[in-house]
Amino acid sequence: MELFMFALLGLVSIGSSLAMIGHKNPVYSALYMVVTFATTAVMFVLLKAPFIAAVQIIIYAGAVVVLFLFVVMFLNLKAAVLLERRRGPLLLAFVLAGLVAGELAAVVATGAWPDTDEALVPPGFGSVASVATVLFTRYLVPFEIASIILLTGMVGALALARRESITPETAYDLRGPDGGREKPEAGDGGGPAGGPDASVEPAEREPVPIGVEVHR
Amino acid sequence: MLAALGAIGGTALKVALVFGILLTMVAYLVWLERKVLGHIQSRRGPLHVGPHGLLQPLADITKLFLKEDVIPDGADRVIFSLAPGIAVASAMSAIAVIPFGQVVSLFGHPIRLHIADVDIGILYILAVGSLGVYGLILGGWASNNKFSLLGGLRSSAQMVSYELSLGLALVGPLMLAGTLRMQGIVDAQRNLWFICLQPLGFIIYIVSALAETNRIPFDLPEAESELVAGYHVEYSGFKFAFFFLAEYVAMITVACVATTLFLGGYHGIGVNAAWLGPAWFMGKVALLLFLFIWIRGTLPRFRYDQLMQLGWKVLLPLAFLNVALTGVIAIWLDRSS
Repeated sequence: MELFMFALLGLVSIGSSLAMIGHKNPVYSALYMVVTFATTAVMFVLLKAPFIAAVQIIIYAGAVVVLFLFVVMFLNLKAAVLLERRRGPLLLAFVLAGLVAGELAAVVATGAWPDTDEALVPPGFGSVASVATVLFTRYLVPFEIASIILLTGMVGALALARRESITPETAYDLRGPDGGREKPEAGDGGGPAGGPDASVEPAEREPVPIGVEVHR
Repeated sequence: MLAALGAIGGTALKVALVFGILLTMVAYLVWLERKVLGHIQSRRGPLHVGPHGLLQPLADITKLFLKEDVIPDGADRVIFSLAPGIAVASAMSAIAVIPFGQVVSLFGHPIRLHIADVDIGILYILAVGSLGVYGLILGGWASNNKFSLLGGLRSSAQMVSYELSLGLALVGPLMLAGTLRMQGIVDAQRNLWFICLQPLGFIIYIVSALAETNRIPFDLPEAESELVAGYHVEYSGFKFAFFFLAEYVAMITVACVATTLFLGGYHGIGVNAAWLGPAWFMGKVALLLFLFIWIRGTLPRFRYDQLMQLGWKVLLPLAFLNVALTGVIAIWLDRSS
């Protein structure tokens, strides 16, 4: 039963990862990513680590991909732009992927693979209590340092996103350096297919403050 | 093998029962809302279909089923159809971990009035709740309409903002109970409901829950005076009914969570027979739902900047304060006893 579940989840997970990379539309790619995260979360449940499963869903599916969708919808990238392929990165990607594959093959061949049926972690590992105990005793200092780094990153992002000087005239002027004069091509925004309704200029959109607020 | 099959069958029966009750509750919640709002506004509400308009929900459902299902030109057909389903599924899944009562015996078999008693009950609720935003944002995007897109983006910004205070408000009860398991949290309230120890947490939870379910005074995603109807402006017929259903199921879900975490779940005052548990639970949920409708009848809609101010500058700091205070007092009580 467990093996069957694992195989099914693995297939769905790999399939959706491939679809995520291959799909032309970034919104679909983001959705396939959610499917991948969800199947990974179910695998954590099968591994008796429900806490990690829940955190996987809350952080990755619930927050990170939502942010991706936000960015994709605001930028309204056209499929044609995204399909532009450049040689250099592709070559580098192949080299790196080859290296990883070789590394994996070497690990399996030399027998460094743990060959045991016994659990390598104590029972109860991955439950809320065990994660909390380890996090707040043994790894307390790294945990706090990580939180401070995250906080610094957040403050830094806010500082970068903020305009140099905000006056009442420029407070809602989020049109960019050219003052929004450049007219976007028709079918440049609004929705998936660039239909009749799709010519929303970015300038006309009400700025949606996400955390950062611009005061009038 | 037979026992495993029996367990699966039993769970399936429970799921079907809860599903049926939930759908009936949604139908009559809509009726109740129209009736209560009517009386608040010195009207009489639905009257003509059945006595006191009691059959109105059936008429509404029939109408929604028979309406033409339009998919606009240029819409992304797959995601357009998927979005209402995501909204309903995420709203309904949270009910699975809510305990409705103690163990009761039916024809000699003990039955737990609980679909799944998982270790991480609260985290599960937060996890499936955080997926609900996809229904709205994808529905708004796939409609290929600027008003729906704006509505979808607004709703996701709002839900992401208020999820923080909502999650932090739930930390208080779980610190007091010392477990994430819903059954354990209800057991910990046998003598004293957590609303007495966590009044601030309860208020933060209710306000954030109103924002999470896009109810007035936080219904900016569908602000009809500026955005037509927000993310579901292009939806009609059955798919619109699904968004409608999702909103009301979400209302019932947040009421169930509030009952479980703050109002003692199925524990009653005085009379506490095992069979009365579900009745107590339903009574408390109904009271909260009435409160939501009452708030809708009383308050006007917030402006968008006010909404964000309230979320980030008032509720979030208060929620942090609540967590810190609860922690300090819990440790102090622990030391002194």
